[in-house]
Amino acid sequence: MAKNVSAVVKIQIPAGQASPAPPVGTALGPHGVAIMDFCKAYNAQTESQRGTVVPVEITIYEDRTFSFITKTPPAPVMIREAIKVTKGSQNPGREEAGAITQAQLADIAQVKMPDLNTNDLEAAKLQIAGTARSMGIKVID
Amino acid sequence: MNASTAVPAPGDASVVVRLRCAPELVELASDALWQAGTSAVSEEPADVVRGISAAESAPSAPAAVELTGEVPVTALADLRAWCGEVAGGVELEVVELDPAWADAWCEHARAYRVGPLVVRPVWVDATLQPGEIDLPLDPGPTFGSGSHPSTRGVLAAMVQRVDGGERVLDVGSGSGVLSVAALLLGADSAVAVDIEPAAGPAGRSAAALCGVAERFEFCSGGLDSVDAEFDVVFANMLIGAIEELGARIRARCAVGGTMILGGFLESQRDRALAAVQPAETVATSNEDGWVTLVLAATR
Repeated sequence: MAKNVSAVVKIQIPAGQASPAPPVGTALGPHGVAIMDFCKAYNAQTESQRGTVVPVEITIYEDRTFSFITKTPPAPVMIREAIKVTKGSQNPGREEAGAITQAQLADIAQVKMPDLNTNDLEAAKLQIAGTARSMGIKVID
Repeated sequence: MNASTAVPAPGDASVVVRLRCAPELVELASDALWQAGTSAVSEEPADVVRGISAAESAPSAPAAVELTGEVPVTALADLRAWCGEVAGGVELEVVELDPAWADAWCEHARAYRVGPLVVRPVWVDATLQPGEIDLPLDPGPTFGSGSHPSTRGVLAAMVQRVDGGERVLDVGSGSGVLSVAALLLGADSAVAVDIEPAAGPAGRSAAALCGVAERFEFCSGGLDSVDAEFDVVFANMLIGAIEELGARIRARCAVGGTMILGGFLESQRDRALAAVQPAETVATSNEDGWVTLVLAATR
């Protein structure tokens, strides 16, 4: 029998590095989840992706057990990793924080595709390009 | 229960902040938190965070999302400035946390049975049947609650392999639950090691709670400071730690002795096995995707 869902919580966490401190603990604790049990499960599942951020969607059931699925890294994080910029522009549009190439956009779009509402690489690239521009990053050929 | 006492405090140098924004700004606002140095970002619909049910919130109110992170105080001014300038508007709030969050899971914790062992949080009562062994734990949030599937898997293997007189070594002992269980099952002595200093006091108090303190020793110098050979060595750790320590784990197990490994997933089993050679697989089990390997140390 399917268990009743009591909450769904989304958290972005560096792969392999979940800890019970806020905000992981504060997001899960009030729902009655044993926080360290989640951290251990998350860290085991994401250890091969260390170095990037792996978002997770946690389903908490009425009996306080949980299951989770991992998502692709957030687009802004991937964009900054690709162009080696740690800070985006404070003033998007007025101040360029860097530039990203079409090839880099395609690489990111490919990885992000499972979490985007499209199966079309070009459409996915446009979404990533939009994110880059809103971060103050210029798109070049 | 004292579960809140060992929570890594936010400390003077960092603050918990909440950003409230429209759903289309979530990506950018999360990224602003990452750039400000947060350790993670949680995302919830604003009405959930505020404790307002969907029925109570105005139907015409635009959906909003609240993002929570913990950032250094020194990054707060930049973050606040960013929130003020971004088109569409992001509200920033510095949050005082109610310390009760860390203890909320306690009321849902339950006792569970593995062979004759009845593992229970100290605040949960359990009625013992004849032949059952009480194993009360007072878990803090630094280590697991003792109910993790990998802990249950290692305990189940231990019930079959520890029946009296063994010298056991517990690598990555954490709360001390595995050492204490082995002693309650009749092991002669248990030596525990862990890189986390809090595992020392945690293990000693777990052993005291179960009346086996005089046979328990926490070795603060780590695995390298242990030079004896053991009849049973167990390690319930993530695969990275097992790979790192595998050769030393194997070296501390007597030829013909037993190694019980847990804490990794089905897809990581071969890596765990490779880390502790020479050894032969005696038994293997899987609990909710978490593998337990029982190995005989060979020449």
